[in-house]
Amino acid sequence: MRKSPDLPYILLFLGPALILVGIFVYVAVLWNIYISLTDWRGLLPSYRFVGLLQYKQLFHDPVFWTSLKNNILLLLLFVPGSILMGLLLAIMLDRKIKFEGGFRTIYTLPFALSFVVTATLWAWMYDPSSGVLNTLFEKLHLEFLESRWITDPNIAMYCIIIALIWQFSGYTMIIYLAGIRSIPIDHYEAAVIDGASTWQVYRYVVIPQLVKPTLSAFVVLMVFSLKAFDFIWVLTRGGPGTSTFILAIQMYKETFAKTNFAYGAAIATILLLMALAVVLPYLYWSYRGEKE
Amino acid sequence: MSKRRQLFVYLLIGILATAIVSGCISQKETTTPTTTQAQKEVLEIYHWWTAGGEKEAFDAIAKKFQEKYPNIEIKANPVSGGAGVNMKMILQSLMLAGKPPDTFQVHAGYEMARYIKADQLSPIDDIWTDDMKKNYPDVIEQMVIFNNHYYAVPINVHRANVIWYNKKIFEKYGIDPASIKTIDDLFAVAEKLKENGVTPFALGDRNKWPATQVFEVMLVAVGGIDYYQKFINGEISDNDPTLKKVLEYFVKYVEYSNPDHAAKTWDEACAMVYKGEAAMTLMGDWANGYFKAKGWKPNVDYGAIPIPAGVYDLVIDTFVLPAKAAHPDAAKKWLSFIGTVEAQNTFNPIKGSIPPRMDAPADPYDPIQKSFMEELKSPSTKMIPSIAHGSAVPEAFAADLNDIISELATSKDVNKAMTEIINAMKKDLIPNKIKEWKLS
Repeated sequence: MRKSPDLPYILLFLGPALILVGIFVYVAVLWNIYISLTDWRGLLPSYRFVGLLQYKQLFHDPVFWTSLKNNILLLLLFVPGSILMGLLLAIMLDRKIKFEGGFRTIYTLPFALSFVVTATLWAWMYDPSSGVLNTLFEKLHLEFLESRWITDPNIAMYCIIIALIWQFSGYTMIIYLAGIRSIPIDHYEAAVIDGASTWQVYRYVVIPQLVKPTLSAFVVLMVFSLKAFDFIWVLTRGGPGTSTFILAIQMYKETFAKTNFAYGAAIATILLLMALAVVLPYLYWSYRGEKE
Repeated sequence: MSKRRQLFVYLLIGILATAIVSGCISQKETTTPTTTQAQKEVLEIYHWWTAGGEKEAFDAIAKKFQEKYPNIEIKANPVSGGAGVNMKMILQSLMLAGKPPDTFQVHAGYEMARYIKADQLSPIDDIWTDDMKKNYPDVIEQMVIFNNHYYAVPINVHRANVIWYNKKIFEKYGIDPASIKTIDDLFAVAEKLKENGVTPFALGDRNKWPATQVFEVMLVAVGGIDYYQKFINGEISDNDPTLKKVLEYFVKYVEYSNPDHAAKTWDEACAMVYKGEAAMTLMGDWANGYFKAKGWKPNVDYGAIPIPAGVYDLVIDTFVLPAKAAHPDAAKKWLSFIGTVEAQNTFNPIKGSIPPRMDAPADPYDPIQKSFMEELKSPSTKMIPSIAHGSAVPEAFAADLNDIISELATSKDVNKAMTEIINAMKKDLIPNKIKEWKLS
């Protein structure tokens, strides 16, 4: 790297922020890992080192496996779902339609709303007796589609995933719209001159150039899926039973309802590892990209 | 070399700047309040009474206290969040910082355990005068005694085991509420209503605890007081036949309830009774306040049936003295004050609860509350601490039960719930047990 004469100034302005982030993020993370190796249970800290005891208990805890399964479901369904929906919306909006701005606002609005608001809204949609969905199906004489939605432990998690995809599609749409618009116009013209159909233009010209936006959307959505706490908390409280627990909810319950701090810290550490597994490859990839 | 030194100096300036800025901020926070507090003694109180009637009830008692002690200024910090869920976290950070309030609200029983185990509360044996000891029922006293010391003063009594019913529906089907004494009587009535196409029970367990509350009522209704005592002491063994029967009764209750119970809250369940969509609901006596607020008249539009008869399931709010309270003298005056009839009869009629003191006059209360006070005084009434409201069992076990029972309410898998309850008992009740209950 070339030595920059501005380095002292950069450090002067970034220094305080770096120190604060260092203390409040990285020291806190290390502290959390340390706590997960102790037997802190109860109001006041206990720093007695017990090794991997909490992790051992965690792996024997059926609730942990339920939470982990739900986290993985979110990764497998919510992340690709939002990306596909966003891509579709972006392609549709890119067709030079009228009132594009209006549609853009409508699609992005859910993302601008607080999760507490949207979760409450979906709770009304899903209400089995007076909710929008069942009432609608009843009016259309499609009674066979009626369901217990979020009150049925077998499908509650999928209901949450659908609601989350609804909320995040607008966000991925914006990313993709920006990506599509940044493709040079002559790429299209060349394709059209060569006689490509609209489908072929998207298949061979547009989509291959959307790798970067897809990756950044991927990382944001994946990290969000690990901590979709507030949305699920408002919608179902993790219920019925523990059927919609995710790791963040189990961590909250263990730490604050059961004052089981070491156990909660162990769950937090596993969450951190999952987040790193997502972010580190991305960082590596983008660092290599910059070097090239 | 000089470049590196220069870098070092810049970094140092950065650190200093950060330190000065943060120093200024914290100094601002600490200096301003102390100057205004100089003349009056301050009493800082944390509580979670933020809803309509609750807030007025607290304001009324605070005003009474201030008339009595004009030199003490009450600084109330209401923290919203039902049953103090948010307040617990605030208290925890205050205690870790060594700056607890002078007194705070907490449910009697095990909810106090997290503070007592950490030596964060002072015993208040001197506050408990002979007059108080004589007038509080024994089980209520037992709920605030840990290691042979008093730790709190109860200000009110709520009751968790009450069936609230819509009088119009009962009259229409010729049901005599006085005939319902046991859980089997109740199910006979439920069957009759179901045959007539009426939903017998409204249930709303979206927040889980209402299901646990039904479970604890089944515990005492099916097993009796002795079994309830065994359960909360953690003395249930694997494959206990009574526990199985209790869980089957619980499932039966759910089957007589609205199928969308997991989407509803307790007050939405009360609304079903109010609108006539269901005949009854099992809920604490805060439902009484709900119906009155809707304009219903007690014993005219709706009635209350304690289930099982002769049992009083206690939910009690208390105040305590933190060990590191800044103004312990003012806090002790507050604690002594709320132990008086005058304070309790100012607070409870507005709050919708009844006084824990047996010598409090009953005139300010409605007919249902009067009958509850009568029952509380009767020597034949058995009192039990509530599980769902954090009194009877360690919080960790109560949190597990909430999940297990709310799952049972949808899965109806009795055997799975049984194994899970026994496991949770071994994992979260027995290791956290710090007192032995003696209910009879």
